[in-house]
Amino acid sequence: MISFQQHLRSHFKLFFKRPLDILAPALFSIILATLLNFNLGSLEGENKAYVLELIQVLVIFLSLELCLANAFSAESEDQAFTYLRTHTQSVYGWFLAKWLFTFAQVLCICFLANLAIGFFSNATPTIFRWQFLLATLLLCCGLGSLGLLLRSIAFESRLSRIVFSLLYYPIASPALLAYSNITELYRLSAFSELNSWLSLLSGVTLLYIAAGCFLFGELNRPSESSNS
Amino acid sequence: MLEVKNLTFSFFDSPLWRPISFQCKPGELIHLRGPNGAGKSTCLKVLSGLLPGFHGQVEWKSGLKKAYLQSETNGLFLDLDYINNLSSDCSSSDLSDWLGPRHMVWKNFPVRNFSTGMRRRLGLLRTLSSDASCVLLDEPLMGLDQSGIQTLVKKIKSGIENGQSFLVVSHQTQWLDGLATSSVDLERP
Repeated sequence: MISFQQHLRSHFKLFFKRPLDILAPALFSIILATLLNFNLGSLEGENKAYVLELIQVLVIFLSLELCLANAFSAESEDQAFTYLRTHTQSVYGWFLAKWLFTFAQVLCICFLANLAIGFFSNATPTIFRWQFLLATLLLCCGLGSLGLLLRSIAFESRLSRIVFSLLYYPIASPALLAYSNITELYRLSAFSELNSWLSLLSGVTLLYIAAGCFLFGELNRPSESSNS
Repeated sequence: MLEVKNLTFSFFDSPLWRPISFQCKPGELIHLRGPNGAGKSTCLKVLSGLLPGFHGQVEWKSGLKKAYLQSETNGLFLDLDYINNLSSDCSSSDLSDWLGPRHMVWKNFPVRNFSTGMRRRLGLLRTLSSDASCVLLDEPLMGLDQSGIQTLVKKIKSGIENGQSFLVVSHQTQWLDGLATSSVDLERP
């Protein structure tokens, strides 16, 4: 039976053996960030900050989407997903290993894209400021967990893309709403209101992580005894 | 260990096979037989707990570990090498038996480059060396050569001696002579 440590080891190796899983979304995000930066043109001050904020939210959201789309690509070959369902000692361990590496992937992509934004716009990207960094970490943690759970539910469905989209976007909307408000308040320097949105984002993130940890196991563990 | 009563599975309200009932005790090998399309693989999938929505009763001993190997796939991470596809409880003698004495030659090869037979050997090695009390094998001979079949028979024999039980689907029956304690026939309704 496969333990948590073995899951971690396999995912760590897969991280390096499947470079396209991270390179493709990273390149996409960097190119997107760079192209949008060229369109800033002569924008200055408040307008420039506003557009940069939009680019940033867009890049983070899209890189999360791309990482989640590829999250189970290694398991889709040779029906490894089915094998892991029946041979895993702890399904929670499998989820945690998967979640940790999806989180690491998204974070790497966000930092690379933000470096590109900073380089071309001659501005310090907001991700390097602690409140914004905290909000980004919370968003990646929460949506990573939720996305993995929903991807696993939709994995064996013939309509997986539709099932995922139908479930993911409505459930993810509170976190996205909180995150976009945090970026706006940060730009407007309205720090007093920032904490309430950060609290909302933290609460929703905890909820997503708890749902991911508990439901992933329940939904993917084969039934032991049953009758119908 | 396993008790099955009146088990059947329906596709679009049409049952695939007549209800079957059997028991599997420790150290037994049960051969599931039937013509193509009779539902043998579906039956194994139901027994492994992967396919809900069946009719009848499937009762496994509480907390029992089971391992399941599908017919055409081995559940391997194709980008990893064979060592990273195996769990740590594989002995070096198991490795030599299944992959040959010079298995270290393939140490850094992704499993994707392995032939069908070698992938099957790896899949069987991984499944049979797990600590499962019951092993479900769907067409285990697929892609195996004669020496692979001999290794499989040897490993199943030693598993049976250690109290492991097996549920096997196979169209080839000769290799199961002397191994199978009973057989269950799946008949079309």
